[in-house]
Amino acid sequence: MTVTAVETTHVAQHHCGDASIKIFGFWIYILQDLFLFATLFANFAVFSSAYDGGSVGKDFINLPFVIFETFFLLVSSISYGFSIVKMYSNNLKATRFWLQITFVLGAIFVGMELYEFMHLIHEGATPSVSAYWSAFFVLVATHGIHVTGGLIWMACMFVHLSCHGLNADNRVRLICLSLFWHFLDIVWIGVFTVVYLLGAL
Amino acid sequence: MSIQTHHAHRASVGKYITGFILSVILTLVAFLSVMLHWIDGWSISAKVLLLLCLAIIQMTVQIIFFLHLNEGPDANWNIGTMWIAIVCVFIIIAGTWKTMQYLNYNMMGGSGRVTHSEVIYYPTSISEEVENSVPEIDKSIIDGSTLISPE
Repeated sequence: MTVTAVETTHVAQHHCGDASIKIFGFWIYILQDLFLFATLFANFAVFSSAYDGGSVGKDFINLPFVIFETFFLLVSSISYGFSIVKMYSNNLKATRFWLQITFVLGAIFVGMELYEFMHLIHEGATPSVSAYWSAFFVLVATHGIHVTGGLIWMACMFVHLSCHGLNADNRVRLICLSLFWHFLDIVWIGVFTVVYLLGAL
Repeated sequence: MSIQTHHAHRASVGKYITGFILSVILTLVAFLSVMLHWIDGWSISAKVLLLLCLAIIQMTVQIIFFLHLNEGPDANWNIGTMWIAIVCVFIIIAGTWKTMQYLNYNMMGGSGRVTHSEVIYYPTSISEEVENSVPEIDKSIIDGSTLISPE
């Protein structure tokens, strides 16, 4: 084994350990983000019938609309998965293609959520009406802001990918973003169940 | 490149497709059982239990098939930290819910609700009073102006 070969293996091992520590660190961040959502879910559960004479949540729940939102987010989750699969097979073009699909679907989701908020505020269900609507807007909007953050991150990834291709750093970034994106989909399961389905009962 | 070789076994299209199909089925069952009134005859606690179980199953499916936590060099750390987080989340949500239920039970005569439907009317009646008092104010202004103008 020549000296250079030893050095490259060393660098490679170092990089690998580095990457897995970064991903694990990001996983810890995701778990603490989970606590944020847990407190908001607890908040919503406590105030789930505190209407204070204002609009009742049930009257505004449009389940067909929510099911479309859910499917846009779910399909964006799997399209991000395809992007990761293509990343492992070193196919930059396909990685970018699936990432673009994910971005579009995520943007549609955020757009639908904004439309829903505009509609609610237009109908008089503003966050200041009652504890229910405060809890509703805080919980759903925090999720929406996270999705928006994911979209901004994805937009940055397009720049990174076009500058450096699939190098070691970009791989770590893509894996971290995939954890984030799938995590948001998992939180959305909680949101549509607790806020919309249980609310519509 | 090392990352690629290390994690090459991690992601496969088949696993994502399986997770996706299971998620679609679980989502559809949850939504359709409410939308198509499949569970209307059930008691409220049975409905809540069903929907929460479907949500927890779907979350588990997505953690297994999308997040790939149980693979790779940090698998034990990933799973271990996740369990701690799940226990904490359970304490936060269930603890808050139980505490507030108990508080409401003691404060509100056992209805278990944060607000009574009887209390609900308050703000509307106040705004009605305000609306009723508006014409009187207008009259006085008009009276005042008519009084002032001759002077």
